[in-house]
Amino acid sequence: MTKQFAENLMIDGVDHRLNSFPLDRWLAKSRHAPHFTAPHTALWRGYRANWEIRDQRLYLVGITGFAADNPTEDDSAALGEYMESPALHLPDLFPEYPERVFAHWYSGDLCIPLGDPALPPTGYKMFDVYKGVITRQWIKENET
Amino acid sequence: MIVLYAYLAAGILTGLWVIYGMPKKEPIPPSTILDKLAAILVLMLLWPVCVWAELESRRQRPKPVEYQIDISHMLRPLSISEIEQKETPDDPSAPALPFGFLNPEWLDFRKDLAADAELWEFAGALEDLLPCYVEGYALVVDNRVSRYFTTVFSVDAVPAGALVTTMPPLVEVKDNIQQA
Repeated sequence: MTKQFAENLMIDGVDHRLNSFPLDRWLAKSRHAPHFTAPHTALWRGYRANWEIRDQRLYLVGITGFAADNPTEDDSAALGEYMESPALHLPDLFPEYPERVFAHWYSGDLCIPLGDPALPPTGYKMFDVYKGVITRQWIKENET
Repeated sequence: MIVLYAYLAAGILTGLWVIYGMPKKEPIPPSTILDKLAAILVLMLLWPVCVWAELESRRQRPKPVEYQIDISHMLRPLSISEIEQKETPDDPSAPALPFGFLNPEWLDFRKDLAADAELWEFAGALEDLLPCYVEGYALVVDNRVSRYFTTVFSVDAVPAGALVTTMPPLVEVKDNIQQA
């Protein structure tokens, strides 16, 4: 199985791989959410989002998604042969909040794998999120 | 010899069940008595294949989803205005509307509710395809959940800060549902 692109989470100016998908809850709940399609086998969910934790809150600060609806020839040409769908970015999804979006719809965990990305994680940095607010953080040791 | 008779008798019973007892997914054209006799004859010999096919079909059928908000998950009644005040994000990066970016969905939910309607805040662990923790608001009519609006849906665990602090084992959840 092809390894999937992770999400990106910035904490204190440092980028981390994120193995959680906070946008999925909004995609499932909102009737205004677009339907994404996989541009290639390493991105079956059809989008890749950038997140940031700032002041103990989770924000969506960027996204590149590939819409399943109405691909156009212009988009296909611009995005290359593997990307046959139009790319969507944050202003397309949230026109009134083009810079950052408070992810108040998300409750669950954020899971950051630790260690060399080429190797199995040595552990995970975990965050609990409740309605977009970070409520707890801890380190989870890899049990294997 | 007895085994052979038993085998053939099981075949006849299977044939009768297939022809008369099995629920049909779609109407089948009328058949003659000869068709039915031929079917029974074939099934007399090949009934294990028929039984295997039916068992395999049942095995592959998706299990019914048990995700169900129940009266046992209700915590406290709240008015719509209380809920809307509580659920309005206090962040410049989200609309200052009830449920923020999910305001259209909330308006859909409450559109035919009276302004003074009372909803119940609920929380609890459920079994969907996976165990999950949910929170939200439900309309309760005649001691039954009529419909609900979910605000938290977590398959990871119960996040810190949630209304209910521990994810009960699924057995307990099922017991609660049966008792309600």
